[in-house]
Amino acid sequence: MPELIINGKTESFDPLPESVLALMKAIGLDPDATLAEVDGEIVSRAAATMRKLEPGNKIELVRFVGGG
Amino acid sequence: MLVNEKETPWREQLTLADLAREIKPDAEIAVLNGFPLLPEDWDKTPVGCEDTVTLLRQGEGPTAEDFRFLLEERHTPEVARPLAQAVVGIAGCGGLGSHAAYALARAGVGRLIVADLDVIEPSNLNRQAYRLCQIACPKAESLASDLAAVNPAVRVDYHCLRLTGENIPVIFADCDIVLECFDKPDQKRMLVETVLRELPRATVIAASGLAGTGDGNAIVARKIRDRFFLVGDGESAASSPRGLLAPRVMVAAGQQALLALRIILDEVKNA
Repeated sequence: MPELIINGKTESFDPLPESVLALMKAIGLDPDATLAEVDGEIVSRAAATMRKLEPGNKIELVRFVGGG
Repeated sequence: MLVNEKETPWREQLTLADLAREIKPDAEIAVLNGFPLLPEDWDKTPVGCEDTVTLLRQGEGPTAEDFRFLLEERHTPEVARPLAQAVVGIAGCGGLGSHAAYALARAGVGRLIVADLDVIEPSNLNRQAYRLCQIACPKAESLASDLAAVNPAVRVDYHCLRLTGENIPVIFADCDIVLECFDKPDQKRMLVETVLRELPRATVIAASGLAGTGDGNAIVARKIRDRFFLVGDGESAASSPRGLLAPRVMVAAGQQALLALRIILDEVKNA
């Protein structure tokens, strides 16, 4: 099964989510409130649909909650 | 002998009255080694060569130059000078931003750039560093004048507007560090994303998870990646009935401000 490394942990997907946005939705994160980095590069909210994923991508996802 | 924070020559039989006459004739209160004394006691109060004396007038603060000197004495030049040269942006002047800005101004950060669209509302006063008399005033402008009132040497630029992906790179262009102090999670993500992508010289310190009355020790500061730090417990969202309360918001704001100082002083590596 194809794998992604998400926040340091290896996780299997079948099928692999096709984009950063699809990944966030698949694991239940709000794309508007989640910062994504793929292989060291920040993926903007606007680019999250276009940024395609490949097996082995290192992904950091930082979820923000409200309050300030 | 230290008088008004400055080493001053001492002589035998010196009294507080002599010192006031020679150094600050319009003084109204003298503080001798921590004890306040009124003028009627000054004639009979001797001053020793190891004593610390402060001569004051009510409500009269130091000049900007005197304040810089005072900070160098208190903090040492190794700490005070890098802080005085630093520029820190505050994105959002609510609970996090107002308290973090006070901490940075008091610590002697030389220039602060504060921005917020909101005006002060009664519901803000449970956690934000404003007063009743400021209701309906713009937060950024009020904060700027309050900071100048505690540190005459700080330069504060304020912007009463909504921060966007377009104006953030312009408004915070000079910043070494930007503190993310918004309330809404999508705005937090937008600010961090914009600083990391558009301001390659700046470090961003964001906050997430600081609502309620949970353990204050759960509010931690951690490095996510180069130029990006996150403060908070990561979980406690503001929602009814678990709202934002001043003590926990202040812990998070304090962590943000402290981390900013530590990065400026090279105690924490940001890259």
